[in-house]
Amino acid sequence: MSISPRDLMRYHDGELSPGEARDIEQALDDDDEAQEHLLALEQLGDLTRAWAEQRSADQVNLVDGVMARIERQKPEPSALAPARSAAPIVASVLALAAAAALFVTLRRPVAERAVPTLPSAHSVRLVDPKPSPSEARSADAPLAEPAVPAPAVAIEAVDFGENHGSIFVVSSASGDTPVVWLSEGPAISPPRTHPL
Amino acid sequence: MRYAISLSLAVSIAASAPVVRGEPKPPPSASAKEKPAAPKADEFAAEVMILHATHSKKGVDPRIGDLPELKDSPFSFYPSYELLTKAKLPLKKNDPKTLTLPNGRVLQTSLLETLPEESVLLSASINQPNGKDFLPLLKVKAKLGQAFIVAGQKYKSGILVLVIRVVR
Repeated sequence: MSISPRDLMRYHDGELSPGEARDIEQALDDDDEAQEHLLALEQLGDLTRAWAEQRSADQVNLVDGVMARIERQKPEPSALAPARSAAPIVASVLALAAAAALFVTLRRPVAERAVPTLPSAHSVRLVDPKPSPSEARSADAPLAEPAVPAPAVAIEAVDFGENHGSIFVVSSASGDTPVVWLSEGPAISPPRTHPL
Repeated sequence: MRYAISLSLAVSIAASAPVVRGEPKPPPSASAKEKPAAPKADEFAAEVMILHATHSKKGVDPRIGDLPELKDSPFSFYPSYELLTKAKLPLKKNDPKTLTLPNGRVLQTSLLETLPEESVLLSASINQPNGKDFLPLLKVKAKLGQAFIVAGQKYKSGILVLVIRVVR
């Protein structure tokens, strides 16, 4: 019995009746070429299934990959939350800082300020050290009248050149004494009691 | 955030106006005639005491006089202060005076401006002969009798402490 390719394919696909299938099996015993064809069909089927499974897996992976990428590109909720919550705080801090600067400026004319300490700098412009008790005056005093006496000594400017140094004030019974400490000496921290 | 920046700018602009008003006005020429004349520039001088601070146990040189700053930090780090030199450098405009320090450097002082209330604006610098300036510029506004200190230069197992005071 000669097996047609169509019957062989139907047998391979399980589409034949049990009787037809039995006839094909008997014919295959004597038909080497049909056996090779059947084997080829099985291999082709295996390849097709493998390809289909692989494609299915790739599609799943592709979907997973796309979704994962979308997830990665989403802004982190934890990153957004602090920014939103920090905005009012930053605004408040800036407003307070500006108000403090305004308050200090209104209370003390610029010309009367002189800075006593500067941690480390090459060239600086300095302003007044610190308000002495006598500098206290009522808030409603006229601004144009400098009721506060100028400091006895004020470092107006320092250029340390290529060196470093610090400026601070040493307070004693005789008053505040500005000190310019050059870096050539041993490292000594300025007194903590009189920072700028 | 933009609100905060805008608020800060607004407050800063508002703050700038009082600064200008708050600066002391220069004395009018009419009233200046009524007040005592400002001391002449050549009446001021910079009295410079050069002290040598060391860890020796000699204590404070009595020639230094009363200088309570030496008892406070960071000067109290050195228990011994010896007066090496005491000099008086006349303060005149456009006429800088120099004083050679024990370490070979040169202290130069100059009067920049005579200010009201017996104050002067002076400049000081410490130069290294044949070298770069050690302390190119120090500009100080000081009242008569008030001192400021320049310290830290290494010298013979110690440091130099320059006590500079405006005197007549």
